[in-house]
Amino acid sequence: MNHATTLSKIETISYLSEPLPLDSSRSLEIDRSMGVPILFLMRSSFFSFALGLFLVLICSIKLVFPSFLDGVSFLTYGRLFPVAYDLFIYGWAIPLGFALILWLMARLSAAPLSHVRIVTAAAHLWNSALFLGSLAVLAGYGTSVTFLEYPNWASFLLFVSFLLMGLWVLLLIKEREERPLYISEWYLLTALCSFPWIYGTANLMLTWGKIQGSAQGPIQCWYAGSLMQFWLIPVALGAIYYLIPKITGIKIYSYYLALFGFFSLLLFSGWNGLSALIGGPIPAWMMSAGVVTNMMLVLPMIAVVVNFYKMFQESEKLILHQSPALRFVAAGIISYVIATVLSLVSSFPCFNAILNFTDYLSGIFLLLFMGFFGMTLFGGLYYFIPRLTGISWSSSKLIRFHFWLSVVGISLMVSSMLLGGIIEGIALNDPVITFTNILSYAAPWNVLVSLSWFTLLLGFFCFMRLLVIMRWQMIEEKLPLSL
Amino acid sequence: MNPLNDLNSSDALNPERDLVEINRPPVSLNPEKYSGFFRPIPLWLIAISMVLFFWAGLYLAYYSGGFKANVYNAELVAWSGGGASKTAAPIDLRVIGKKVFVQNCAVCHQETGLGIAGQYPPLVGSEWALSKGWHGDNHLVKNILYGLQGPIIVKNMPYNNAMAPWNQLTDQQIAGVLTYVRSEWGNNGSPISPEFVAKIRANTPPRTEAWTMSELQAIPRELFSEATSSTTAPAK
Repeated sequence: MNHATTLSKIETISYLSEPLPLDSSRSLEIDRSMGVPILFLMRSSFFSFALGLFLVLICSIKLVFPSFLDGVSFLTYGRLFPVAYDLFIYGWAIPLGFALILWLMARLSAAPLSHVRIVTAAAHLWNSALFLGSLAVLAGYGTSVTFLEYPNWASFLLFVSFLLMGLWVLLLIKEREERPLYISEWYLLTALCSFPWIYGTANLMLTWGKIQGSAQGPIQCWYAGSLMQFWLIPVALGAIYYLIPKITGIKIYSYYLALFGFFSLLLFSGWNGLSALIGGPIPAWMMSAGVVTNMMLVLPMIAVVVNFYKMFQESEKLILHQSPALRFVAAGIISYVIATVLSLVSSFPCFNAILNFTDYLSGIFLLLFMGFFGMTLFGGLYYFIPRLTGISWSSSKLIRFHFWLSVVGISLMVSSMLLGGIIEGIALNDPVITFTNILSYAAPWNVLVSLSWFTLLLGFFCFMRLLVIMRWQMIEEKLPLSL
Repeated sequence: MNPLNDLNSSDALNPERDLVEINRPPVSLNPEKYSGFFRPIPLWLIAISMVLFFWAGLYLAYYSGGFKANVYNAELVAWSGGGASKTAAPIDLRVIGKKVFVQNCAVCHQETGLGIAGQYPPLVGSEWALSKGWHGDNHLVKNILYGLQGPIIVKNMPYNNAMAPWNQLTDQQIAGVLTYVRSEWGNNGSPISPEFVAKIRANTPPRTEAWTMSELQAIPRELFSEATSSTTAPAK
């Protein structure tokens, strides 16, 4: 088959879906209604991500050279590390995920967003709470609960501003013109409704009010697990269910498989975090529930991956090679499969006895966070941003750099954390090896981890460079939106 | 068409109608268009889920401690939730002892327990470690607690050096390291219990000077097995 016929075939395929186009003024109205808050959320999330990468790089250098930036209280590991992770979660994953929800919900409901100004104002409130909260943690006013470090006033403001942003999306769904709810919308709606629930509950019991000590551990683990299962995974899956059919023109392989994947994820999510407490002072049934659900979460993973794989199989190979969005999405799906299997292994008590309290568990979290959620959302951004701004990406070379630097960075980081974690775990269980020696075994792996954070930062700079070029073009063409 | 941006001709101006349309339930009369969309869940996936559900039920039955709030170790309760089927494993003093020995004692006495000829006395077959002759278990514990200095004789060889006091170790750690030393490298002495160490610690007035051999020799010999045989049976 020569090149020309392949190209013409792609064009035929894109028509196969028989679109019933909205007239262009209507779709422009929808886009314009969301442009301001979405671009604002994206812009600030990119800033947080860059800052988070920079801070976590400093932290990982401190693990290699403990005297690095020593003696400045707000630059100590115990304050920088939580701020970096909070920036990743509340500065990047949540606003970026919300921007994606906003865009997809409005597009899929074929209705414009109302009260855009309130959404934009709430987004500003969110960012101010994030900024002041991070400063407070740096100044030493953090709560020291993992992922919930912000002081009470900051976390309360974050909670309120999320409600203010999310409310209008619910209203938009209620007034949608497309009555059937598309599969992406199931997942995005789950994420949208779950976040206030898990964040509010965890804060109510751990920071705003304090529940009795023995229950605090399980609640924190439940929150950390739920953040993955109720925000990161549904948002990324919702994006993939949109991107693959939209770009390849292939319809969803099986509707029932998608239903099965969705409801099995809902059923088993949230319990799995409890397996982090195996051997701890909590009732035995909680740990067993964690082990069992970690196993059962393999089911939704298999269901969605089969669905995606069949669509990839049917689609034109040329599209897969040319589309940057699909390349990122494919890397994300592979990370999801590996992360699910690895966390299943580490939840079994016999392996957990070795792997708990080591870098192995951080490696799994980062594989899911950077590998699955991060890569998928970057894929989504490569698709959405040109449609939002009306300007094409300027360089395929920079996109390729971003992709490969991210892939190399994430695989280097995760594999050195897994291997280092296994070695650490075996050493911790050997009574003859002293703790100082165990730390020296972990040292070379920490060097590799710093190196991979640096690689990720470089990759992200490629993406920033693309955005800067796009911004110049927008200013030149005097477009109403600003990036 | 710009493949870099996935801008297919149909969606340059976007509408998602096409996406919703291709996935709409089959109201249309064109069966080809929706062939496969409602294809059932593959049989192998149903089989896997049934196996997993069965396994999950078994696991919860065996390891959930009857879903009771006060059961922390499921292996100590029968799966029905009533009555203990096992008891907690006893703490192995030799494991604790090995760790203490490697971290504190092996510098001088060596990991082989052979010491260094002329400088540090051996522990292997040593009458001090195994409480033979005039040596007793009480001497051994006092030795660890407050150290030893001056000329001594071990296995007919003279040594003149100083051993540091290890008074900061807990009763369990001292009992552990003594039990380890007395049963490792072919030694076959009896174990020492933490209670015995506590008793000797309480009976010995605190001192700042290390013991000398003649001071120890003046204290009557006492054995752990004799001390406990009257009250409880010695530890395994």
